[in-house]
Amino acid sequence: MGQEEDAVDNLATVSMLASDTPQMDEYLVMAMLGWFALAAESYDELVFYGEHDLDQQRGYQTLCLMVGADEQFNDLASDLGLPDDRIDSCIYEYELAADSWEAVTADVVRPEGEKGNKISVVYEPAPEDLKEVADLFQESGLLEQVAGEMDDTFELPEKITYKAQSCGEMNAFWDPEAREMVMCYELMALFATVFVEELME
Amino acid sequence: MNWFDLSKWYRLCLGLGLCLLPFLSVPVDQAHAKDRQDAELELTDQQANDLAMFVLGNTLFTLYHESGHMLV
Repeated sequence: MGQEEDAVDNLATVSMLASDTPQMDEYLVMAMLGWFALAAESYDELVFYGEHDLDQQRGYQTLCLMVGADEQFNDLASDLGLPDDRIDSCIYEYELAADSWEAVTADVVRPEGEKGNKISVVYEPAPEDLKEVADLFQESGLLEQVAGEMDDTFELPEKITYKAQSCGEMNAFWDPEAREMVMCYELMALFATVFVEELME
Repeated sequence: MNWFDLSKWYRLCLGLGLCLLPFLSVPVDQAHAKDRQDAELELTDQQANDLAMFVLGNTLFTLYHESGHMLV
C-alpha cells in the first residue's frame, strides 16, 4: 500500500478507472493533468519533506496506473514522457494497487446490491465570490455520487457527513473527530485558476 | 450534462477575475451583462467545456482521495 497519501491517491485512481466510462476516463485524464499543471505553478516552492509526493510524481503515478489498467492511455503516456519500459511495469503496479485495496477492505465490503445509509451530504452556503463554484458543484452531483458509492460499497461503522463548504483556504480533508469529509469551494476555484493559467491555449 | 452551462462559467469566471482572456467572445446573460458591461467571457465552447471538465475531474479525484483517508 505504501505511505497513506500514496495509497489514497492510488485508491482515487483505481476507483475512477473501475467505472470504465468515457466521462469518468475524461475526468481522470483531467485530474492527472492537474498534477502537472500544479507542479508548473509550484516549482519554486518544492517541499521534499512533506507527506505527499511532489505534484509531478503524483501525476506520473496516476498516469502509470491509468496506462497499466487500460492501453487506451498509451499514447497519452508516451506524449507525457513515460518511457515504454516504465509503461510495461505499470501493468503490474495497477494490479498491485487494485488488489491491495481489495484485500484490505475485503472484511468491510457490503454484499452485492446492499444499500448503505451512513453517509449524508451537506452543502453549506457559499460567499458571493464562490457561489457559482458552489452551484456548479452541487449541480454536478459528484458529492452524492462518491458518497453513495462509498456508502453502498463499504460497511461503515458510524454516521458520516460529506460536506461542501467555504473553508477560508484551498483545501479538502477528512476530519476523523467530526467524522466529516470536507471539500472546500476555494480548492475548486484554485483548479479553475490553474487551468486558465497553465493549460488554456 | 446539466452542469455545463456557458452563462454559469461566465459568472464563475467573473468571480475569479479571469474574464479578460484573449479568446473568442461568448454572449453573456442579460442580468450580468448589465452589471458588468465591461467584462466578457472570452472562452470558446471547447475551452469552457475543458475548464468544466478540469475543475470537476480534479474535484472528483479529491473526493475519492479524501474518502480513502476515511477508510484508512
